[in-house]
Amino acid sequence: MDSVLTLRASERKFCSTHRRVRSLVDDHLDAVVRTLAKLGVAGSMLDDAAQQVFVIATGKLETIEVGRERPYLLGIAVRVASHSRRTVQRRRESPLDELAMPQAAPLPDQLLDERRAYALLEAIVADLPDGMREAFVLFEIEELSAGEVAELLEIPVGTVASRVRRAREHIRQSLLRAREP
Amino acid sequence: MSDLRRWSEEDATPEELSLLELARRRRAEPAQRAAVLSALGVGVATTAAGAAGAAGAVSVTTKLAALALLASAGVGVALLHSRAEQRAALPAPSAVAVPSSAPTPAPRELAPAIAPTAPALAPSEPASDSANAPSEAKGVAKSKSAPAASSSLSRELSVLKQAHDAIARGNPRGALAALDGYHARFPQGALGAEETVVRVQALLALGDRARATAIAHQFSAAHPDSLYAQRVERLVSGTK
Repeated sequence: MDSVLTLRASERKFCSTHRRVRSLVDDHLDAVVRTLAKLGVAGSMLDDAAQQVFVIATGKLETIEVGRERPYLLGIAVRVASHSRRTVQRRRESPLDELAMPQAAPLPDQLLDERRAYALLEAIVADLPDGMREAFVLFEIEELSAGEVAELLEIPVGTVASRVRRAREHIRQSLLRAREP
Repeated sequence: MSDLRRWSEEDATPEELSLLELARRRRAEPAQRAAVLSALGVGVATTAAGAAGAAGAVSVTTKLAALALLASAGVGVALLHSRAEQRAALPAPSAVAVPSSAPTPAPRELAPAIAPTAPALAPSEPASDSANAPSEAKGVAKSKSAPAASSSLSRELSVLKQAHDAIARGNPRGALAALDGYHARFPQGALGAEETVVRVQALLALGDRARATAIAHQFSAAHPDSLYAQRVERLVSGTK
């Protein structure tokens, strides 16, 4: 069949494909892992999910516009995370309750204890309602434009704005609660 | 109010800003990076083919990803049915690169195993290259001088494809000859399991059920967890 017979021509393309895949990973793995983690994919699921994102992207390589790789990958990450959440029954209780902040030590203003601050952040973001979480993570942490977020979540820009604003308010309240003795 | 600006440009407190900064600083761990590169077949070795061919214990995921790379490079062939394929398919159930020519209807029992279905992660446009290089045809299939990059896995695939096509053309002996050649050339081949499936099919097509069964049993005893174990057992038991 012709697919076998044109292997050599295919191989040339294979090499450039290979380079592009490699640079996708080099340039965007951090953002993908961050996004997946913030969207609630944890532990060993995180490694699997990260691999899945890039395997999918690799299969769709020719449809990814140059310069638009990041929103594209994060779009896949959002869907993979959402699937992963449906697969694994999410913890019912609020992660904030598990954090067990030591009461004698209120949160330091300068966040000296980064590790604890990070755990707090994870818990707070995890506590955001679905929808708000995606919008907040993509806009505030991954710093996509509101338009990009709207496109990849398939919602109007106005909805992105209102979700991000509500997420901020939610986070602000969570921080206040975390400070309370 | 309508235009959304970053929180840092609106009313974020210093504490909120530090949290955001912290969140943005998170990096993937080296092990995660290595795992992703390896799953895509672009890790350890310099090429997917090298990576897949070098390791004896290449995971199905890795092989699948390497095949996906090949598929996206226009070699629209996929011999695999796997969990990874199904998982990968979920958010993007997309066009598959089905060779439209498929001239010879495969024997009945062949179809499910080696349906010409690229994994769902194949690109929607199969290789434009394939259209304009018919003249290279014969040379390539026989060529020993393909560039080192990508050649190993490509050649493995090409041999298996030849064998598959031979069966489809009603020439199981030719298929077996090709597979014997595969063993000789790729004793540590990354697609050994796929080779077994095709061999079992060739033997069945030849009417040698006894040998097909022996090979199937041997394979499933050695690889009880393999997705192909069930596959070959079904083939020899006649239940597909």
